[in-house]
Amino acid sequence: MSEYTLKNNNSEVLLSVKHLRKEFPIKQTIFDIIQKKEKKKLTAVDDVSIDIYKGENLGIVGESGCGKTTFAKSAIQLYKPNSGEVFFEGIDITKVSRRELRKLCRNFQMIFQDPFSSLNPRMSVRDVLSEALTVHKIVEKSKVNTKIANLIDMVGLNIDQLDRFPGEFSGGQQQRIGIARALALNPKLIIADEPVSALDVSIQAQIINLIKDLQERLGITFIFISHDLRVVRYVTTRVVVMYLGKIIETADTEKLYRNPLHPYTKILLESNPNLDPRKREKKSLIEGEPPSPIDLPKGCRFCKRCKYAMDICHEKEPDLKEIRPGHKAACFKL
Amino acid sequence: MENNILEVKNLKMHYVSKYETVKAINDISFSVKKGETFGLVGESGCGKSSVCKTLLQLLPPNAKFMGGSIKYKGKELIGLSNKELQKIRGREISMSFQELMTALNPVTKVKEQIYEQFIGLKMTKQEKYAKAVNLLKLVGIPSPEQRLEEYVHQFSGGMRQRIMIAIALAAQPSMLLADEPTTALDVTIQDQIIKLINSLKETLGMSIILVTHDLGVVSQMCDSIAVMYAGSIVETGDTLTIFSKPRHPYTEGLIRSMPKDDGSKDRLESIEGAPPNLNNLPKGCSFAERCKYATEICINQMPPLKEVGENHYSKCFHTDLLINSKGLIEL
Repeated sequence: MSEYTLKNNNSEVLLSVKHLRKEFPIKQTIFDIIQKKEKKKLTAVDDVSIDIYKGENLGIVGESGCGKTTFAKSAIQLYKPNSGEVFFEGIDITKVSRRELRKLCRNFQMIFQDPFSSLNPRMSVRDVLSEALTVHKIVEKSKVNTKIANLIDMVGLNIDQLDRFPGEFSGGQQQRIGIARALALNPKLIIADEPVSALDVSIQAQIINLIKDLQERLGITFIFISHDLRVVRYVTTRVVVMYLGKIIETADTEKLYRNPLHPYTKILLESNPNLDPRKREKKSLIEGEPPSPIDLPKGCRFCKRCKYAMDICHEKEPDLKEIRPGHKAACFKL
Repeated sequence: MENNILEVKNLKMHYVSKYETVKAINDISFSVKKGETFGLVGESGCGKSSVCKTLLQLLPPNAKFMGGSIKYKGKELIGLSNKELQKIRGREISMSFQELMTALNPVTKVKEQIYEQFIGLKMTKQEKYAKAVNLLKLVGIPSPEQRLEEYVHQFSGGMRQRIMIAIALAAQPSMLLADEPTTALDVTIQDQIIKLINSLKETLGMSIILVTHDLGVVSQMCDSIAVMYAGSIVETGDTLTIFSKPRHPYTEGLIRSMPKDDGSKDRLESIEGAPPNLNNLPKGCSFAERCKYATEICINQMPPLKEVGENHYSKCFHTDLLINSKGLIEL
């Protein structure tokens, strides 16, 4: 535990994201073209800036469609962002050539939500792991097998399972294979996109423990995307709350969970069903659903659902500002 | 016993094919009181949904009923003809399904799908329309007149769930089987649906069987629960008792593998291994392989469902070892 916190106090920036923006064009139908309708676009990530520190585990929470995954993917250039800069070790990776990007990309790996569909059913575990190792020439050919044995041991699988195919494993084991694959390239940053959502509670705990162990042992930086607020609180060291493509609040995990500032964060945390059956509320805290990210309202994105909304909230968009040391939020009320 | 709206006794159901027999439901008994929410909790593949489908006998042809009884309002449902069952389905016991996009029809208007529930009832067009509008209002869908004319894909996930509930309630059932009603939803929307179902239960005086794997949802909705594992009920009792004093090793493990709400970072206690295959269940306790309390007897014999407290039963030989077991919450 003490070692764990130490690593986080080390505030060396691993990845610095500046004003990142990602839009997706909406396909027009033939009628739209004939009627010369304006081309619409969906803004998935809107001007997001954040520094990701070495050794931290950054959680991203928010409702589906708020841009959690798109942000992570465009930060590591799996999506080409429309504008903005991303600095990794002093290099702006949005501007490098494809060849260089390929070299840099081995530092970023992903763990996906659905373990089965993210593994090729026709490749044995050995093939899955050795492919990455040979393509990126991580180890000499003669040492590939030792490295694979190492990896498979690290994620808690058996060496005699190496020649099996993904279909022969249970969900939890498949996710372990996915994690081994991500570790193969000795990455500096791993993006875990809902890594435990598809798993049952008892298996979930196994994978969460594994991820925490690996992080402590190898000091890899994690971006942990999840809609499960309990899991995020347990795993991460710092949390970002996103709403419709914007960061609305960020702070150290415990600070944010104990003392949320933004009205949306408060509601989000309180909507998480309480485990005590004696504490039941009759009324839901929030009405309505997030507006469509295609035609965003003017002003604060949350104002339509916010009970504290003032006139200014409908006019101007609040900036993310530091309210307390290390605790930022975007709200005019604060 | 008068209070029980549904009594299930020693129910057994297997899926039989040429190559294997999948023992989906193995000798389960439970009862649901009038006006209560009863939770069936367990991991995927433990037979929760199969129980619901067996109650309404909505099973595929390879499902073989192997014995037991289902009594609804004192009337035996097993052995009823299809015609008699039609009078029960929807009107007495209704079900809201898990996969919304497959359960709802994508090519007919919402209106038509609600009207389907009125078939056989003598209602005029105006009455049907008024009833449908009222139903959408009841489940909290704004501007119902306009929404009735729309198709399912025009609704968001939370609104689709509301429509599913509206359809299930259309024929005024006394009992609702809700299969994972909040699973695919965001927390804020999940919260809305939980509160909607809770308030509907009170205003309409329904009984609900809730199928879910989410202990948070259980805590907010259920009066009593049955924890299922590999097609059997391993523990049953009221929610507060089971959450505070679990007496079955599986329930204890399930509860302890959840991250706590107080922000503690103690290592999670996971249950090692995976559930057994339902086509090859062990002779003894199906949880023995993963259980830290397991002894010789657990491997060789099937444990009985023992009474461990008032209305609290556990299917384990070693319930005494769990007498001081700590649950999720303290009383």
